[in-house]
Amino acid sequence: MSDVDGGGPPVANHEILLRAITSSDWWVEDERRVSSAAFKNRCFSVNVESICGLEGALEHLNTILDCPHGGLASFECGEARRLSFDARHEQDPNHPDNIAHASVYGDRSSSRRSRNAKKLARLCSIVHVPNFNG
Amino acid sequence: MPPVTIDPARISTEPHSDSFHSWGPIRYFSPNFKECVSSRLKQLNQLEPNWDCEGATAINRHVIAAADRLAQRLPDHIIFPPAVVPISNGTLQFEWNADDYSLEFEFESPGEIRYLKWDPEKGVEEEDSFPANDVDQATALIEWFTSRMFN
Repeated sequence: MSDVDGGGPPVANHEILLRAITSSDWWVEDERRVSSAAFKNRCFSVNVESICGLEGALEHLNTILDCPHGGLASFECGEARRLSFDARHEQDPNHPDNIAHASVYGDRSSSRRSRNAKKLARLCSIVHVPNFNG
Repeated sequence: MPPVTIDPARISTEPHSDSFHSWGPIRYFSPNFKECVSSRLKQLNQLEPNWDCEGATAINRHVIAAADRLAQRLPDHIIFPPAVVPISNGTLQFEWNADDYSLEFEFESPGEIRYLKWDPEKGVEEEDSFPANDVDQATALIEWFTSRMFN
């Protein structure tokens, strides 16, 4: 995905965003939660649940990302925005057919950037548990 | 009772109880700390671009070297080995987690670590940066974490 601010339209605060957990390193198995490291890139991809649905996000995970053992974490767009994570509805250049794609831009210059990533990780709900040992 | 697998790297003595006041834990027995961290860093060094399936860059070898240097210079038996976690921008972080509190060292560059002391129960959400070669600072932060574990 692009790492340049695309300036796409903001995703509405009420939307639920689905973050793919594609690396086993991001999954804390003992505590069944996602690591803050999944939210520390300046820009990361999500899918908007109201557009693709959970099934669509799972299909994206399995077939497009080719990560069948991965998981999905969900969070509300407005809650993330309060933590300085701004979701923009814009095309993923690697997967342009995915109309549910949004880019989430974190404020990496913030003096609260580590706390914000931690809080976002903690407020996530795990809607599809990864199975990296499977 | 089913057999239990014990991870030697995470074994520690139990905190002292009210009924026994004469001793308490003072540090971890973690003989494989440095080897564990080095081994894990070597794994991260093997990550190919796009390791997260979403365009991640390979982990910066200078960041890996800085993380290894710090790990090798920490005092012996200070703590169990951290989770060594890659970040999509090519950096990495050390994570120590216990119950609901944690300590993170994010190597934002080869020369700088962003730390996060996280203990919501005690109202601690502290973060700042320090030089990656500042072993004393790293040690002090780790001792904060271990003291929390024992109290």
